[in-house]
Amino acid sequence: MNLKQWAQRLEIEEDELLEIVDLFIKTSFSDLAKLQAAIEEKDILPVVKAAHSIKGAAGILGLLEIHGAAKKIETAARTNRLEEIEVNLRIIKEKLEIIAEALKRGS
Amino acid sequence: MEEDIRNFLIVFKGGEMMKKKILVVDNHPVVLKFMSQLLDKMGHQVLTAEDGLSALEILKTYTPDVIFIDLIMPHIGGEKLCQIIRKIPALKEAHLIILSAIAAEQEIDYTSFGADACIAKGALDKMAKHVLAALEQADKKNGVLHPPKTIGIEDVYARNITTELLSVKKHFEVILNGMAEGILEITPEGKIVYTNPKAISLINRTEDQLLSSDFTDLFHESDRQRIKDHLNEIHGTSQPIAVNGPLTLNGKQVSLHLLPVMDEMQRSIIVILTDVSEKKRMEAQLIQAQKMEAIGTLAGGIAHDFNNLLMVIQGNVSLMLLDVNPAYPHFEMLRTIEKQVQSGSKLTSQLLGYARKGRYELRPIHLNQLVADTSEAFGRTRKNITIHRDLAGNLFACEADQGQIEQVLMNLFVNSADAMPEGGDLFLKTANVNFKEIKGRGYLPNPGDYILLTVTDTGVGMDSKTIDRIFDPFFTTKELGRGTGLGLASTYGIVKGHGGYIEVESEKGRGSTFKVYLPASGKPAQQTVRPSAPISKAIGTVLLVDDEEVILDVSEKVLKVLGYKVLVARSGAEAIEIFKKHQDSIDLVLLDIIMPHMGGGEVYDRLKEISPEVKVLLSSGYSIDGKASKIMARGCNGFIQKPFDIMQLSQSIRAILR
Repeated sequence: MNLKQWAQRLEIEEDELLEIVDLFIKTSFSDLAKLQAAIEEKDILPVVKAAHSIKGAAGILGLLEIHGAAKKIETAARTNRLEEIEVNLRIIKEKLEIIAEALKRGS
Repeated sequence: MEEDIRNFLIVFKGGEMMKKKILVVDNHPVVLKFMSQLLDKMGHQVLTAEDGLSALEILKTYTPDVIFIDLIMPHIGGEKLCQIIRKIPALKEAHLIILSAIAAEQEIDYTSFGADACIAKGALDKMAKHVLAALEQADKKNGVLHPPKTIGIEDVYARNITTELLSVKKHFEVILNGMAEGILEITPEGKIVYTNPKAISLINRTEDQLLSSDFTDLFHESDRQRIKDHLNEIHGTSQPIAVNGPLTLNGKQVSLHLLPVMDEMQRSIIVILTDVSEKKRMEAQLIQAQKMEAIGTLAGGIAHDFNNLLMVIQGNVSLMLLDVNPAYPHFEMLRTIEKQVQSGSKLTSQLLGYARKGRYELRPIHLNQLVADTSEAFGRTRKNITIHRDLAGNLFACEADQGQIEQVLMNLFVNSADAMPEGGDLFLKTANVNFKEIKGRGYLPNPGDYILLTVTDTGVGMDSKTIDRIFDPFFTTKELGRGTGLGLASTYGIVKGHGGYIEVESEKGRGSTFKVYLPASGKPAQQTVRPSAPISKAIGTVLLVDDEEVILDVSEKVLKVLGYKVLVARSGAEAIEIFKKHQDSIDLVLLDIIMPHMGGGEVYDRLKEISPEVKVLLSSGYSIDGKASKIMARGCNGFIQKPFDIMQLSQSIRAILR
């Protein structure tokens, strides 16, 4: 996870990227928590909304994997494909943790 | 060198022109952060807002040149926000740019809600480019791109789930737009963030006036605290609350249903607003009708007992008068008593009239005749009133009880005369009308022809408050003791009892006009009966049936004085027994209707069984819903109302035995 390259790709400064990504991590983890709770409650709408939110932000930041996984959750939620949701949930979680680590390491 | 200076000047100038005041409205923090950074870097002043409501708050004191608005947000969405902003005069020149995450699923006709451009949300680098392009456009004030084109749409792809969500949203929109109840959504602080069309029409303000305004402000000051308390209650309990009132909104009675909504971070309250004015009005009418009926029953009952009572007084006085001559010291006093009994009986007539229990003898009558006779008699008592008569020559007959219509006429004349204490003019007019010409206060008259009697006076007139109450029983504008308040109430009852309608038009200082409509009858009118024959001795035997001892007593005396032989029965059963034994010698049965154990009706039927040609004169002080009429319909020969005096009894009996 190279913040410098990432910033270049997005054509913004590194410190700016840092701020945005930090915020992204925070909001995405919060969305994930809501998602998880909604799954336990078997409440579809919050699942879709949370996935939608993560997907949007990930798209903006060019995080295609997270974006893709979130998109899959959105679709799966409608048809109650629980395993598919679980799988993609794990993917997002992993990716987010990687990014969070990278941030902490301050590279 | 020159080129450098030129470039510098361009950049410098460009920078000056480009520096703007910007507001970014989006509910995703990452978007807000990115946009702030980007625009800040370019030297612009940037403020952010998370939703439409906060944006409107900020816009109260901040006038940006450019506003970026996310389409899908809670608490007033992008489209609505644009429409509201477009109505704010200070922001007329503001450039509105939509940020859309759903651009691929839906054609965004952003110009239709007042936006100037639209950018599809996507990866930051591309978004940045599009933002810059949009800002340049704003700068050049090129106006709208033709055709309205969302910038960056090529970079975005359709997402099925979003399409699905949008379709569901449309379904709900259809429901919300078509409902008979008003729906509002308010924040916990009480600010309105959504209204459906019905709510808008009930409250009678425009949508932009309502959105972001205070919900409690819609109500009267005295109700506001109560509503605020309910809103606070919901915060604590998160339970729905029904507020049934009384609550007034915009002149209508309403009820509120407050439903808390827990939605992730957002806690708002849905308000269901229902107009219950109609329901309350009908409730009031029902209660009023029930009251009137109760009064009617009471009045009818009192009247009956009174009439019996008066009968006894009248009877005894009549008998005494027969025995004395004018020289007798107490003669005058007896006459006075007789007059008072007459007054008393008129009063009970009024009561019965009001209670609509006076349908006794319906005959086709000639109203003109009645109006002429009654008004002439009345005119003699009020010499300072000039009576003008315009009575239609071809007036239809109407089925009516002569005595009751006389009562109606007298009531109307007396009221008119009282409105003209110094004298004046009274105009009486009769005419034929068709039911279509009756333009009443909202009621539909039964089809057919009617006769219209108009009574107009040049008196003091009435204000609208008085007009509303004139037909109420015991309502009078006269001083205590001078008016019973029953005149018009009984008039109303009698007219309604005849299947007619009555209306009044009046203006203070300009006199009053009463219009009475009575159903026309196809049958030819009969001559009105004028009691004129003197009392003369008669021959025959009368079977007298009544359960009340005192009445029996006095009636017997009266009959004997008239010259009849009298047989007395204290009950229906006794009457039948006596009749069986003496039917050949009995010429007439004077039968009281209201008796315990066996009522007059049953007695009549049994007597008829024994002797079909039996002649029966019914008497009563009171009739329950035309009981008398029913018995009359079965072939009774006549009816006489208590209290009756000797003359009336004599005439009635003679009429039957002739």
